[in-house]
Amino acid sequence: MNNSKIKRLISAGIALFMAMNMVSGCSESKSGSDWEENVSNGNRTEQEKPGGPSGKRERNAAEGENPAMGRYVEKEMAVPEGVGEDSLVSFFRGPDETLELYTARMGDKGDREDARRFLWKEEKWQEDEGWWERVKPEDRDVSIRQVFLGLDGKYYMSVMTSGEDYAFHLYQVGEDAGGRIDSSTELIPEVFAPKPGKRYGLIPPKVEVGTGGNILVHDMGEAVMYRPDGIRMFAMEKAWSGMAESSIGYLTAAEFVTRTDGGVTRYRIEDGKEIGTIPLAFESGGRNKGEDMFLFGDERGGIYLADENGLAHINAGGSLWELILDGGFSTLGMQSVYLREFLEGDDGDYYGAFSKNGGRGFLLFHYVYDPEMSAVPPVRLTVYGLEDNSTVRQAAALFQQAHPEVWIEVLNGEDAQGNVSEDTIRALNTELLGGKGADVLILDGLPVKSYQEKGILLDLREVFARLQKEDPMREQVRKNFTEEDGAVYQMPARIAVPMVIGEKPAVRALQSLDSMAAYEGEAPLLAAANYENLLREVASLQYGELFDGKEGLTEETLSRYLKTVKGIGEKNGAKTMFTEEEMEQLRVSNYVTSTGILGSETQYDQALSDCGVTELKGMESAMIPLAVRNKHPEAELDVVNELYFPKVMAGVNRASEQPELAKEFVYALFSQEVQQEEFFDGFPVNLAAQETICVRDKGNYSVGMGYGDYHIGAEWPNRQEREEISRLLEKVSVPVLMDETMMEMIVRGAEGYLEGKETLEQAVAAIRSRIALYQAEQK
Amino acid sequence: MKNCLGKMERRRKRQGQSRITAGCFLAPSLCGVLLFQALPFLDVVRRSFLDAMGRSFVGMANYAAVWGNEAFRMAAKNTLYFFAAAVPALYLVSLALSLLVYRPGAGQRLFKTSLVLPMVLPAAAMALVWRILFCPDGLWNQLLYAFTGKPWEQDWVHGKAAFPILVSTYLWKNIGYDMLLWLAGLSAIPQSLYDAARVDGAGEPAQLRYITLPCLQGTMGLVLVLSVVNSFRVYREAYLLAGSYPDLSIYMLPHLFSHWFLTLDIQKMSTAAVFLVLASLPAWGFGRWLRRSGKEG
Repeated sequence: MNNSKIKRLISAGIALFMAMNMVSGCSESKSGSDWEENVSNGNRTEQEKPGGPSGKRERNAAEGENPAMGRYVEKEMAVPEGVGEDSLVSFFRGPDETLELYTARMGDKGDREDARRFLWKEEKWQEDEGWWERVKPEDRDVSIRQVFLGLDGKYYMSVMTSGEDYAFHLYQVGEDAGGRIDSSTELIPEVFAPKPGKRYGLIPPKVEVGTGGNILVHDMGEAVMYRPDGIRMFAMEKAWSGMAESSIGYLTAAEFVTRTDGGVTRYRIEDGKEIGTIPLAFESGGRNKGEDMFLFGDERGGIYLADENGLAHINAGGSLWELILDGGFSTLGMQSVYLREFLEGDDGDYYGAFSKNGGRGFLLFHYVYDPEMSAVPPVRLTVYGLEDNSTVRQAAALFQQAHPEVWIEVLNGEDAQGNVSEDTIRALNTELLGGKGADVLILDGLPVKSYQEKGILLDLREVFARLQKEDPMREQVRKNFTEEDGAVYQMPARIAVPMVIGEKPAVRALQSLDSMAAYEGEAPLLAAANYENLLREVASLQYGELFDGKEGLTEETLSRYLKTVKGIGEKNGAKTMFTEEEMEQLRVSNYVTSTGILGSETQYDQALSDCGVTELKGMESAMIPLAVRNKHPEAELDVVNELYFPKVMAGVNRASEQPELAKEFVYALFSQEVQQEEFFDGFPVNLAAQETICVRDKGNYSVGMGYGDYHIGAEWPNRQEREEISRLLEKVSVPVLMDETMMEMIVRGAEGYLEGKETLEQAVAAIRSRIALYQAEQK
Repeated sequence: MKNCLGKMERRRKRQGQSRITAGCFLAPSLCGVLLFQALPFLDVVRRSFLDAMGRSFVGMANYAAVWGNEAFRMAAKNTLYFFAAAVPALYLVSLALSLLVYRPGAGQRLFKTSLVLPMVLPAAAMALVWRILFCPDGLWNQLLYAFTGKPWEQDWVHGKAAFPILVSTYLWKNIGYDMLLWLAGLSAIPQSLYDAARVDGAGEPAQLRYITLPCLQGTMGLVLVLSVVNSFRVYREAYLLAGSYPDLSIYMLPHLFSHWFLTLDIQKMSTAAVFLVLASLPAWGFGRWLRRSGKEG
């Protein structure tokens, strides 16, 4: 064989090898579940999920003949008798590794009274009878905040004193947490005492004590180390958190580990110098965008991170997080409870403690590895929406508990910054075209009409007929989203409502464009806002007149609309973009919302406008408007033109491989159990859930807001007020389904006119031509 | 005689072998084109006769709908205008520049590099530069203010000037590439032809007319086809400059395609793609004719 023949043979071999590689490279991996085991570099981003944006895969790894076995299972631990509605104070392992639980009864003012101590012995909670009586100060009332074991092996306790002496106090407690706390055992009081001229002192969300007795005081954006004599040593930066009674981070003999903006950071506690930062295990998302996270360590220097996404672990010096427990398979993923503590057990097991909403009541769980359980449930159901949503996550968590054989995966199209681009929709469309895509689609922001026309969505009439029988929903909402032939392709799981508070003539002026334009009052009709918000706000409030008619947005209506906005803007000082000074002076911002409604009830309260419009997304958002109304009894409180904003629009992909399961999920999403929880994303559409919310009393819950000299406080609405809000909700019947593309065209096209650089005719012509083009595209 | 026949036989064999070798080299590329372009295009043609989800046959309904669609007509018209304005301009300017660059002279390399540089610039960075130039408080308005003394706040990118701006962007981006193609063509012209012409007393214009242009005929076809193809890619710049709904003068077929994909109107996209290919055939035919006549010449 000569040289050239050998070369040819080698070339042919290489070509064949490359061709095979190319072909096999395009094929589906048979062990596609690696990502579930290891969360590479901590970021479980959308791109890393197998099978495209909605995470759908052709075949489940667990469906194979030899599915991987073993995973942690969650077992609920019974809470001690009689403390079901109490507040969780602390939960930790004592010096002899016994689990210790501290609870307290919530008083009317939110104070914690009658604390109790329980020890986990012989598989049950045993109360340390009379503990609080032995410990609490004899001379004054205190509200317990925290009990903890320092790294020096001693017990510590923090309390709040009330009344004139409202302050935080830290004490060392005697043996077995049993010694009485008094001034002789108080630690660094000067750190927490109010500074001269100030009413309040430092109230830290968390305190820890190191091996040498040094005290680490957590604050909102830093943790400060003090010597036992109160001398400040150094501060370590941490991610800002507004949580009052929890702080992310923990102390070890050598390090302080906390969350910073860059990820998880370790500091050396000798001098507070940063040792290093590793990325977070999960993209933050959901309720608190990373604030609801818990960090704790293992004995080998490794770090555990628990949040709604699950429990992850990283070894000392490591750079890869290992996913121990998926949040979707446990209470971690549930939105109605807050993670308070997570502990490592003796035998590779874990314990978790969660507070229920409002801090009344708590749940305890034990996480045990079960080698007989399949690593991933055999059936997979994917739920996809462009944005993360707490109601959907709550439904997924409850559905998971009811269907342990199903793996519910909730995915969204947000990027690392929480933004959603058109490319995300295109990627989803590519999947849908291929007959794939998620089983359940949350349709907010997606081209629903087009999906419906193209037969992407499954008819859900059976689901809603069953719901109407068993767990009825608001009739007016159901009707709005039921087609003439009875088909149901989408249904909002939540509704938000534009509500107006103000002088009667001003409230009535919101009835139409003409009455808005004609309004003459002492103050402007609407509060100052940038023109984009004003355009959006007026469009939202006059949706029926502008967009809901048979003719659509005519030239004449568009002219009146722009003139009205300009008229209002000239009176209230609206601008395209405010400067820093103007923002300060007029109490406005350049922040834009899709509805344009930023909540202007406080502007009405300050007589800056004759009415204030706010978007009610839950009972909590009614607190400030109701407080304003209580200050102005003559003011009228009403919904605007019977409008409501549909939210969390659920639909089922017709190409779903498990349509029945997907329908079950939709049923669960609209069930009372899910709907009765409030996540500030809208009111429930389920009637029984609305009634539950109406009955629910968060007696001690209060909010306040203010800027400059202005301040207003509000308490949880009383029963009468809650019923009033419920009655207002019954009035709404017109869904606002704003076309964002069209709205964007109006905003851009009107800019010149509103700034006085173009005539009304020019602006109208420019907008009309664009809208005509947009509408022509859809024909 | 026998000897002669043997020689012919060997030559035929060699020609056959070289054809096989060429075929082997071309095969991967051909496979790629077939797999990733020809077959998908056949699917596009198929989809143009089906409904959006490809479930039922709709005959010529999609063709009728797209042909009658005002947005399509406007986009097609604008795309055609853009071809008509940008491609000849690019063609002529790049040829002129290549003739300039081809002459040896001082600063020639610098000149060449500066023309080729936009090719390597990311489209996003380029669009950003153009926006900075032409936004209401951009450099262009400041320049006008300096000259006229009155304030200018014109948003050029979103006004009537959008079309010339886009054409300029296209020229700036592609001129270097086309110039390189022309240069390749120029370097293939034998120097002896020019020497002979000069001996016969031909001046520069005569050399250009009777030697350079006829010899570049093959390159002309190639440059034409590539310029047309590149002109389709201008959407990226148009989108980055003015968003998904720009001034109507620069609303082109890729804009429409992008919007149709957002609303899953695949049947319309497929139909419009077939129209587009049919409309491109004359340009392709003309380019091919130019190349052939160049070779024959």
